Amino acid sequence: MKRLFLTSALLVLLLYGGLILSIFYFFDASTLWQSLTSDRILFAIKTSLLAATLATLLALALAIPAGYALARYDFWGKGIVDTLLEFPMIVSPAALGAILLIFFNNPLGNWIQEHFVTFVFSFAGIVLAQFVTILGVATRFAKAAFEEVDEELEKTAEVLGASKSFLFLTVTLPLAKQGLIATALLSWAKALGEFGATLTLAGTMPFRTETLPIAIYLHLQMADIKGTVTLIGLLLLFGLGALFVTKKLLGRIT
Amino acid sequence: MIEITNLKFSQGGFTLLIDHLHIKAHRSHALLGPSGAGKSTLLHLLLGLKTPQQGEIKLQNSSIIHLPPNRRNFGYVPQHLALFPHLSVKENILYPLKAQKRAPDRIFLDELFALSGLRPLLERYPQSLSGGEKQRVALVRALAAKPKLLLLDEPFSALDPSLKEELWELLQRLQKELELTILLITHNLQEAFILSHYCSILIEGSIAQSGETPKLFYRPKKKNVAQYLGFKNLFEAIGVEKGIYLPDFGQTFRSNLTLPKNQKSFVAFHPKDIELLQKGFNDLKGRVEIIERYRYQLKKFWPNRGKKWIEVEQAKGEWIHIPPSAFFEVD
Repeated sequence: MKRLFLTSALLVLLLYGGLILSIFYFFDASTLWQSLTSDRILFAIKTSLLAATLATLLALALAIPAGYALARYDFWGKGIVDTLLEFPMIVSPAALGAILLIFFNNPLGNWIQEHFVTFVFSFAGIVLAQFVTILGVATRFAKAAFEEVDEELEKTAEVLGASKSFLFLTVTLPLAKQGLIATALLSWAKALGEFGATLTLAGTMPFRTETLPIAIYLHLQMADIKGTVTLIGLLLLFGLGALFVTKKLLGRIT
Repeated sequence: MIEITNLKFSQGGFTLLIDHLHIKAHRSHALLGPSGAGKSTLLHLLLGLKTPQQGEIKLQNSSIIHLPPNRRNFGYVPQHLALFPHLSVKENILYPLKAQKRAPDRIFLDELFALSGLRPLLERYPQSLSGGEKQRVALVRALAAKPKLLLLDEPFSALDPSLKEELWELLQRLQKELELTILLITHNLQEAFILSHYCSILIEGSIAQSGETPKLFYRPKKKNVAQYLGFKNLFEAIGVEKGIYLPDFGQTFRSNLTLPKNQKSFVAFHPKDIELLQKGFNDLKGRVEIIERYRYQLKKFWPNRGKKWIEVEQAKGEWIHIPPSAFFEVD
């Protein structure tokens, strides 16, 4: 039995590891240099990092209080909120982008775009697409991080004289800190790799809405395999780096 | 000090109903009761973590029923201590003062550290402390802000016996020196007997009996309280002309009690009131069976004429005498 389990784990490694290694077949150092010095690729990298960071910060601003509410309180509609967290995972990213695009074509969406920010085919659209994609996951992870904190500690702090905000800042938050950092890094990695919703809402305009995943898509469409491989390598470097840090933090928690 | 009246709380088919409970200032009060009796619910209502459907809780004649937990000025040691793992011992102890934005009273804290022996541990973190040390930290933390009432929720239940006794002594010392008002929630009879001046027995959601601990333990007034306190000598009795008739022994006994004639009542007597001699009345002849338990022996006296055994303190000879003053009635 143990052998079967270990074999399965090794198969997972073989599949993903093999796929990652396979891209090195087309790896070319001169293309890497060209890419790293290309204004267009640098713009895509900068756009990706900036948009993912902004989307993550916005998502955390909502996910942390929402996750705490889901972990600690009973309220009307809690079950629905909890189920809807999986909404971005259930609908395909392209469908999510399409829903956003459709929304900005209704009167309310139009009004928002006219009076506040233009989202369709813009940098704000990238941030919004990534924000909507990661919000569910961020809330789910934040909820799990708060559930790890013993409620008895919060009750004791309150009885000993702490107000709700004081105990949240001095007990809950410090004890959920590692879980929340992991939430931020995983959300950021997911935002960085977001493609479908961004493509549908923000488009594929070079020097405007081109992110790393979109650049990969465009290079592949042009049959530029070496360029594609280089960009995949960069995306992997950022994404796996964030995941590695996350795993380290989660390891420290458990 | 604390006065609870007509307090009602219902949840999931369980109802807690406290007609009246008084916790005296500068005294230790134990709240005893079997599991599921409502001890924790009552504690949560006192702490403000639950809201009652009706009733009143007064602290020094002022209602606290609408005060949030953080404004009740209570010290609290929960069952699992709840020491903050990310804070040092010192930070844990000073937490209530920081939370209440109060400057620490250095003299008082020094006294607490001296009494509890915590000074060498102040820079350590809870994870590195032994069970007894954690207990002391939780106790001192609960006292740091000079609370009006110290609530202890079975804090010693997880400790081994020698450590438990050491901490009982510490709590007694703290109570005496600092004139603390304590409410101790426990199901340990020995602990309640040693630590409390007063006690209340909570059974099935209501206070079955309250009173001074030695008196209540010695002469409970209710059958369920007597049973909970482990009384074995609890028998059916019928009032007769010359005293009380105990059907279990087929014998009439002289008694200071006056029970209603020809009516079934219940009487009890304490093993330590039984005399090992023959006086010509209230005597029973029989044999003693000793049941060995760890650090404890149950001595059963089996009367020759009788269906039930009687618990005795000593096993000597074949006669026992139950003095008329030993009998007391339980409802």
